Amino acid sequence: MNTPDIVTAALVGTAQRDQVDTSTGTPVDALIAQLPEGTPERALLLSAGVWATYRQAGQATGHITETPEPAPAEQLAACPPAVSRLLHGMLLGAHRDVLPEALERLRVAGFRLPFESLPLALNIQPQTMRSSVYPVLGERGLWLSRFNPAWAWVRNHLPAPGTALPPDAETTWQEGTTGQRCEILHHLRAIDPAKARTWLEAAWKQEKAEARLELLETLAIGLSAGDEPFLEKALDDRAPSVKAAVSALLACIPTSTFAARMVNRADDMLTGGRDKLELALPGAYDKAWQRDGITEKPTSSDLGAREWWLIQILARVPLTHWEERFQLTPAELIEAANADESGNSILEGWSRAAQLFDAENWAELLWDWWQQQQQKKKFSGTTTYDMRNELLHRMPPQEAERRVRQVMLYSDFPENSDWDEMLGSLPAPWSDEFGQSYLRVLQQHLASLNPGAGRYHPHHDPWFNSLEVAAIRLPPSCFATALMDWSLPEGENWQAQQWHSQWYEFTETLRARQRFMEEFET
Amino acid sequence: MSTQLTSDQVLALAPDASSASAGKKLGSTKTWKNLGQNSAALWGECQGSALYQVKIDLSTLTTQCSCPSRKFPCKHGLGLLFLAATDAGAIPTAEPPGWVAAWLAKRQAGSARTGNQKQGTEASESSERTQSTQASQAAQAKRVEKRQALVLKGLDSLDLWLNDLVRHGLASAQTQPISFWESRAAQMIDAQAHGIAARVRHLATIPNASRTWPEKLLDELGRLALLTHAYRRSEQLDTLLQEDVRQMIGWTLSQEEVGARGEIVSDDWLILGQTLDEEERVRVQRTWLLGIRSQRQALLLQFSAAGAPFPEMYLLGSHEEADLLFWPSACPQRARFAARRGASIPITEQLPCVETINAFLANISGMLARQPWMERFLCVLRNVTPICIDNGAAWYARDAGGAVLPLTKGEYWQLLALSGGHPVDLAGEWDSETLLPLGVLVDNTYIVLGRTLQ
Repeated sequence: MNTPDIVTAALVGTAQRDQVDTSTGTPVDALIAQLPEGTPERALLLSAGVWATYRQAGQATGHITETPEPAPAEQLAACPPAVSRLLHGMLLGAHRDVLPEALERLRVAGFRLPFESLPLALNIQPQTMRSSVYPVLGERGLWLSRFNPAWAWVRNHLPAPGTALPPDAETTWQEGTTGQRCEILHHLRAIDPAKARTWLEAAWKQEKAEARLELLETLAIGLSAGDEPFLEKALDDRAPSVKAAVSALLACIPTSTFAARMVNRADDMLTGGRDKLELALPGAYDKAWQRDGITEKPTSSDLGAREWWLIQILARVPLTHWEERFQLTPAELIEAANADESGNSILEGWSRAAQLFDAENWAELLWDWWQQQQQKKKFSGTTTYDMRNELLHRMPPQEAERRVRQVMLYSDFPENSDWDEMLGSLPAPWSDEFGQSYLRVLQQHLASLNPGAGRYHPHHDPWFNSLEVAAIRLPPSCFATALMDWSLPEGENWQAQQWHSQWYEFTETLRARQRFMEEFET
Repeated sequence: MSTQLTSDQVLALAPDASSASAGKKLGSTKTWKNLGQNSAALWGECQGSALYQVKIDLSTLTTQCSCPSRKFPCKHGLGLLFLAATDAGAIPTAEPPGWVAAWLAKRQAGSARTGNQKQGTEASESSERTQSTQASQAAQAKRVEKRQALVLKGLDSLDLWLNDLVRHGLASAQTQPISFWESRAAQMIDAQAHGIAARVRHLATIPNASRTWPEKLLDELGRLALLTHAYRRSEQLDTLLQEDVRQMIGWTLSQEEVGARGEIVSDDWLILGQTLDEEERVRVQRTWLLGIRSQRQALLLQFSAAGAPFPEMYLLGSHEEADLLFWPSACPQRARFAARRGASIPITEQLPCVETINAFLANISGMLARQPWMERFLCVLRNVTPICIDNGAAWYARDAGGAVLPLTKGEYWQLLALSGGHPVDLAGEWDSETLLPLGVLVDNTYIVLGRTLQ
């Protein structure tokens, strides 16, 4: 539309022209003609006012002919209104810790997120929460995500392992972020391991060490002899972290030449017959070891170099090898190793092997051995703690709980002082039995507590610190006990105050979980 | 509890985000003692740094707390509301204790008093008048006369200024410093024409703000000229339009004047949404209502200076039987509650809507014909589809015939999520250019938009 004369006249100014044209090209002009005579400025202003109202009143609409396909009908059910309200609150930040459990419960019950919560859910941080959000997005969430580039992660998200790759998978593999590429490779590896390896091999040389390490981890899925040639080449990697990861993968391919090399080396060091175990520590560092990821210098200063080489070699040999070779049970082998003066190194090597080869039966026995060492103060606390924690992950849940429970019951023994950190290694939720004994011992602890006395500091009290984990992992059957009226330390001192506020957080989280569950039952 | 509060509604009552999150923390039974409720009120004692007594009048959601906070409602009040919203079963029905009963009685007496006053305004005013001395009446008339002279003088100088602007050309306006507009606005304040001052101040925001700024600036200057024109020739206007013109100039009405000259409308009022603006350190809250039977729209305006709380609370997304008192106008829009009778009930039924966007715009024309200076309108549309274009850069509401209204600049993901590309009933505020969505009815639930606090 051309600028109407009236606008031009106003822009330029009436002083610049002899004859001011105030016409608007609308019926307003006829109306204006009836105005009383006045200055040209006033006439222009009044015309403009009428013209403005004329346009405001006569506004015409725009038109959009094509509309996007509406969202398809939902396959999943809408969740009850009370659940919706709780979830929306959690997405806004209330009891955020409970969110993963809540989303999982929603998924299992076959519900989807309420529509009004979808933008919050699609924006969820950290990104690791996305896989919890994805299954409950519903058709509406998938539909909505298409309109906002920030939500493109949904399209690239891979639903369940084993299902077909999304159509643009190869583009994502070529152009995506490391995280997205890992996800694609992870997925492809489950469907077609050889193709995934080919993709990785083609890209391998251009990747940075960090990306190489991350991508390499996907090979653990469906690892087979077919992967050996690539891995054997990759063993020459210059980055020590990548080399170590490659060697671990190769060790897990029983037919690999790497595995055979390691077994041969180990067999030279550990000899003996059915009732005797003889250890010959390597005399010198063999240059050939370097290629296989065995480092010359110990990582810790209180470890001898020769012991260090032994540990690294044993760590890459499956534990079943020793059971077969010496015809001994794991318990007998551990006892035999323990009798040797350098036995600690053998047991550390085996503990690492138990982790790599996921040896459940060994994990339990080895954990017990480490616990004894801790009591005897034979190792520095950190190593013991790390080992115990790692081994806990490799045991069946009830075995792990049984062990942590023992430690918890005798938590005032110095060797058990960091037991609260082991709680994090137990699978969630805890069993009812474990939960109840946790609460029982907690009660005793509270009764004996005198927070105002001496140099008591709540943050150095494992019980105080354990509440955060317990709030998330206690099973529902323990809620009633946990939410009873507990007698907390009283007094004006700040320590007691801290206990009260920590306790408040603990019970609030439990209440949120409880409320969420109750809503599902009704 | 007769009111089914939701957390979102409570969030909307919070004066700021920190109160909202503090209130949320207090919304658990653990923090409360001696909780109770009946049909009129909700109460409890909250253990903070002292024991605070919180009481809430359910008819108006007015909270009162014994804590020293100057926020309103305070976190304790919000905490109790959150508790009621999330876990109403935890609050037993009981007889109100003494401290609650006394407060309620006082409030009821107070509202009865103001009610009587309203009903008897004319009677009492006339009796007051007869009692008042002739002298004070004369003084009053003299004050009005003096102000009238001041206003007219101010408008004369404004007209000269407007003429000057047009004589020299609007092109020169784009280089004017802000003080050019501000000093003119200040003169209008001195002339006791506050309404004009606000319009002049607004002019400063137009130059260079858009491609079509010359046209927009000319529009506003023209409207101003029409307004001064109308004011000088008031006697030729319809009585109600005279009221509008006087109010727009800056002659505010006292409560008594509104009561005497305004119109009472009884209806079941839907409280559809709210906007909040800040002008000159004064927060302006606009709440939009729609009468189910009368289909009349009402705008409740509240002002708050220096962070003070707004005097009244409205539960967005609910409806209630009430009398609204409208300001006298040729096209009444501004109103306030005169009497609130029923409980607030969540909106679950179809809204009284216009069926097409063109029908809505035709209604607007009708309203402008009666009062040509109106700017904002409530817009309630049936079966419109929210449309998101260019990754959220542009948004529209589209009716079944394909006509669209542009939405106000912003992002409306929640609206899009709720509609899923299907038609919905949408309420919004139309500012004559764009539509600001306020709420949406989906699956028999009315959801208030845009009040999500982070």
